[in-house]
Amino acid sequence: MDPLFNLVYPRLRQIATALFRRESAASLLQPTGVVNELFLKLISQRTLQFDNREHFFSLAASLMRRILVDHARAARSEKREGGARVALDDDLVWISTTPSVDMLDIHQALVELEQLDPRKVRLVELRFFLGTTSEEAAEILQTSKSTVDRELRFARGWLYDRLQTNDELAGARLDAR
Amino acid sequence: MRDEAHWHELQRLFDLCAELPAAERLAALNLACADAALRDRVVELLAAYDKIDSASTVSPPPSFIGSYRIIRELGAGGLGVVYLVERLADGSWLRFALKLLAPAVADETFADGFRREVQTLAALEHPHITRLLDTGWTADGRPYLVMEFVDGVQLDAFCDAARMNIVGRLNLFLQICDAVSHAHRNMILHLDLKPSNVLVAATGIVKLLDFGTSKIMKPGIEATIATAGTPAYASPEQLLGRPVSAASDVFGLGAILFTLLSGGRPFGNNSLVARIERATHELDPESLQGAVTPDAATARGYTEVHLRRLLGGDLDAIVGKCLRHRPEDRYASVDALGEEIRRYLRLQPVLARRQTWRYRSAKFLRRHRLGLAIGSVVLSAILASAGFAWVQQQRALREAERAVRMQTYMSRLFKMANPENTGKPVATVPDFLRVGMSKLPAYVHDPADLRSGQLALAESMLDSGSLDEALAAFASIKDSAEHANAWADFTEAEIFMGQTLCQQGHLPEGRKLLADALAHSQLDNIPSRLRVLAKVYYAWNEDNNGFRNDTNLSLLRAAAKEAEEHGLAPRDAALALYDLAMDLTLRGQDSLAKPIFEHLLTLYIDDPLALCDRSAVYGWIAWIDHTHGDSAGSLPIFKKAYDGFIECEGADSRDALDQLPYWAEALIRLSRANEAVKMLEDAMPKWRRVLGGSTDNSDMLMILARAYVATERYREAETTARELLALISGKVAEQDRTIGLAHLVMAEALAGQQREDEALLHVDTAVSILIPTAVSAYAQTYSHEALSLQSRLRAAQR
Repeated sequence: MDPLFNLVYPRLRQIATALFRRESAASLLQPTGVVNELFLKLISQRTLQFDNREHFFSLAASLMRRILVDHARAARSEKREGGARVALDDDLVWISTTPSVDMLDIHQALVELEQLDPRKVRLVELRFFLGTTSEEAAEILQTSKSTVDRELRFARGWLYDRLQTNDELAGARLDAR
Repeated sequence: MRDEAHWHELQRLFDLCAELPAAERLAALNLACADAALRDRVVELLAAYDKIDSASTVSPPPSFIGSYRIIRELGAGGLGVVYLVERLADGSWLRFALKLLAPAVADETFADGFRREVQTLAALEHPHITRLLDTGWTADGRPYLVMEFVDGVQLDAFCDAARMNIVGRLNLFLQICDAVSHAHRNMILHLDLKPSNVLVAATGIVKLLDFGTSKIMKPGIEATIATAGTPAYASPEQLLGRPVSAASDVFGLGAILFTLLSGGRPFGNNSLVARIERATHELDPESLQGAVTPDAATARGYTEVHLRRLLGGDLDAIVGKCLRHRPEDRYASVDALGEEIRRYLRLQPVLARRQTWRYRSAKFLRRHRLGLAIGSVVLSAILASAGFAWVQQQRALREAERAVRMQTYMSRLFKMANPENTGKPVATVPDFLRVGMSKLPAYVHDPADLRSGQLALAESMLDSGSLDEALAAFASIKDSAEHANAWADFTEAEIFMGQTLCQQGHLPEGRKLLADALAHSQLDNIPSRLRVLAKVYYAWNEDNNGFRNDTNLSLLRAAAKEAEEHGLAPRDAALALYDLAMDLTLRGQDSLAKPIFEHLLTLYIDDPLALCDRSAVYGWIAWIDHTHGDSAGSLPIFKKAYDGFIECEGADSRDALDQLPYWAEALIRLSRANEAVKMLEDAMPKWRRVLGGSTDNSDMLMILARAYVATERYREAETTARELLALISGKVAEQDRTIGLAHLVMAEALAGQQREDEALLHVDTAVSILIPTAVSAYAQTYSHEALSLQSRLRAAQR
């Protein structure tokens, strides 16, 4: 229907599939469902005015994040324990090497990062939630690939450090019990 | 938060150190930063980063194979593992697929064969085959192949996601056939053809993967291979370990086609053992229709019943022939299979259309396909078809940013058109276009883009029959373009304004504008598309409004040639060709016209939105066949035209109705007048509702009267003929053939009732009109009929 749609849709499906590949069949999250939901949200933004490509992609990426987090929350409240474990496909491994990481933890770390450096969060969203390559992210943000790589390197280090701290805290709580 | 105060400094130091070898970092850090706490924090972050880095590069078994860095595993099979890899080339990382063969495969006797195979594979160059780019051996002696990496979607998933119909799927399938055929000509078999080995890239190009498992065909000697992975698609001879040949790939292609068309697998989900058992017993695959599920039908855009019907007959036979147990019973080659599919696509059962006696009502090929009455059609269809007009226009909207604006605009429009949002069902294309036209300026600010968008919408309005609104829009675009000195837009608006006026019957104004546009289109910097359109619309309107001359035919020929030379989009090229072919037909040069019509069908094959246009072409082909003596052959083609129009325009399609008289006439010629009567009687209520009172398609009445005559129901024939004469008298020219034909059938109705005197009056009129206007052999058959009736009646009078 539209070049942008054609450009983005297969990509999103691919990401969603990768994200949920290892989820159980009973999972609430179905790749197609997530992507459709994303597009519904995109389309129903009443005040939406895309000024440019960057805006469009960034919005798509952050909506994707929101959807995933919402699902993770829903799953958590349903199971009353442990959030949805999101399997990170190898392609997305750059945030963490643990085979799966709690989506809500990532979200929380990103919220904190947002306070410090919103631009890095945009980058992370593009790369992680929209699955763009560094080159694409650079193009979308109208900067160079090397800048993107540099910023991502730092963001990864920072996020991983943050997630580690979480784990240690969790570990400490367990030990205390 | 402690990082907040030093955020930028923290990053600067981190970046600085990250570039350095671990051993040098601390020293550099001490030099660069006096703040001990900050230094510690940098070290912490670096440590975290290193952990990710080391973990991700060390933990997966190999990180590099040769100079290829492994990104991830793409898949694993009996013969090895396939990785997504990247390699630094000219300063950027390029991605490839690397196939690492299993140690078991690579024994000593393997090496020679491997080398030979690699040489052959490397020579295999085809747009639909992933290229073999490099080979090598790992340090521990395992061979690997490096192939082009295709970032695509698996064939069946791609088709289902696109809800692609059968024709679209067959066209993709033909690309696969081309690839396999190319390999066969190079003596290479694939032997593992299955949907997962066919990817469709984002560009819509099909790529066949994994020629790696294939063996080189040695002429005269058939290779044997061990059974490879996927039992669902493997040929019986492979399952049974018998010699394989090109026919094994024909089987694989048939299996892919089975899935592509029906959604099922040729042998269901049987296990390997069950499959081997079936193969041993030479059991046939399941029927294509039997495999259809409701989901599969939905994914192809049909109802289950409709899909079953489509898959019966020819397609079932084609797939069945591929899947025969005995290789020699299958198609002799992939080319033979491909040719069969092409034949199916060309001839498919048929449809077709009229040429009316009154040529002026012949319709223009629609340039944009906006379905007409939406009503029952789902909203997404509106969006899809309107989107198509946009896609075309996007060429003019050069930048991605504009595309984004279009995206916004389209989604707004989508919302506005959604009954759930507006509370009332919008849902006609004219409504949609009207809203679109009024909202466009709010989204598109650049005047040139705005005009371009308005032109697309106005042309769609013209297509969908909103003539008044289209006219107003073209006039305003023309003014705006004139003020901006935008002569291309000006000319385009002029062409379509002229066309609209002619369609409204304002001939003098319309012809003048078209003549002006033709002149303006010769100015510098007018795109070739507009030069072609100006010629086509000018010549066509001249020719069909009583100003027929050879200049017009030359203009149409020039337009068709220009369209081809400048590589115009198939749709614009089709317009030029279609009008040329119609014009030739109108001049009685059917033998020249027919090949053009047939060529048009091939242009439309790739265009899922061209169903109406395709149906129109079928209509002409059927008509040409019928009027050249092949009435029997024309029947299925008429049906194609009729069914096609019903599908694309809805049950009340006027174009579908237009097929009926000539279809019925063909039946009469074949002495099946009873069927003709039934066909037309059944259609009469619809005809009265849709076209009642109009002289358009008055042939319906004429042929019905003739059908009554042929079945000796003379009273009904007379009543119908009277209705016909009343309808057209005074509305068409006195010498119009329609009048002559009406008098002829009236004469026959009366003669059948032994009312010779009255009949003679009518037949005399008929003769006086039909003889001088008969331009074709077909038209002359009516002249002869009139003359012989005349002499019979005169003889009876004496």
